[in-house]
Amino acid sequence: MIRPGRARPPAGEAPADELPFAQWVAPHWPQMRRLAERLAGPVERDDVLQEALAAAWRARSRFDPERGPLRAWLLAITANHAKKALRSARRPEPLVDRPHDDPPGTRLDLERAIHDLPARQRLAVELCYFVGLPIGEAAAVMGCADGTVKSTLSAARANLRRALGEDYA
Amino acid sequence: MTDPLHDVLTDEGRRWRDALGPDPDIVALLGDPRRRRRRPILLAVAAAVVIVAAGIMLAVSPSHDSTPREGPGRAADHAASCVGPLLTVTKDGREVGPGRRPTLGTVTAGQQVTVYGRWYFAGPCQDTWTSGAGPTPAGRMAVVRLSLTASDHRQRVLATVHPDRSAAFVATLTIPADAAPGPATIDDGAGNLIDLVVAG
Repeated sequence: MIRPGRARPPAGEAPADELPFAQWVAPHWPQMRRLAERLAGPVERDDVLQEALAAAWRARSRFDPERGPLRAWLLAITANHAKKALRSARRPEPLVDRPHDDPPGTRLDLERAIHDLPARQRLAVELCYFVGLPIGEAAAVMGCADGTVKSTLSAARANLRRALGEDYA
Repeated sequence: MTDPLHDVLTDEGRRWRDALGPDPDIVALLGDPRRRRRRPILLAVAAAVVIVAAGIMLAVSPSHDSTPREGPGRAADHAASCVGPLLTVTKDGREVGPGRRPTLGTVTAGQQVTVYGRWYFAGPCQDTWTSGAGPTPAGRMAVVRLSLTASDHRQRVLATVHPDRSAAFVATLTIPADAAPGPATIDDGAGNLIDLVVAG
């Protein structure tokens, strides 16, 4: 279970009850969309977002800005629902079938290697490189220290290098 | 960082983000009838979002209000969300989503129960104030009558409450000792009900 991190919230963030729900979520919507699409794929994306919104709505009164920033809280919920969606679907992750004649070192190889990473490593890669979060925000989403995210990324890159071969050495 | 794979991933991530289409609209997403995992709460959230959006549109409309606009990044003091009254069994109402009726479960005649009310504003559009300033005293309902309708259809007022400055109230109600056993409801007169079952 991914839990929101403990970093202090940026100034201006407000508890749920002080802002209408849509206004509350809207600034973080692009990042939620990116994470849902990366983790669950474009087909499942909207369902994941829908579930995440509903969960955030239900839990909005429990959001504690002292425990972490709102964006991290919303992204952690999104990540959890992406995991649930994939688990309940009981099917391979939403990667486009790779043509057999694809040469090594293509973008699809990289995507496949990212999908094959251990869950925490993959989450770190998705958050930092594809969602575009700085290390500190990724740490808040993952509920760990900045250094842990860096070491997780390092391990992820090592695994990717092994999977991709010398093209990425 | 000197790791070449870091640069590859950075470029790939940027390329991926740049290639993305527009973000799905929150309202359209929640309101799309083709969504296969729709639930009542999602529809209610969608309705709430639509209401909020409509309220915001009204609030920013020049013909609606000639008050000078707030600066960028500041919440407007009078952004209206037109929320309706909420009668619930928990202080923050978190155990029930909109569209679901709260329940007290089974209670015995003579037992005391506590109910919570929020957003008991007067008028057809119950504005909320995003700045936290709260409504004016004239903006809230003066009186809310909480009544019990038991299984014998007999209705009686359990309490008359006065919402506070934030248009909220807490009421401790005593289920009448002679209340008929069976399914019953507590009603606020504004269309909000709480279910309960009076034990025999």
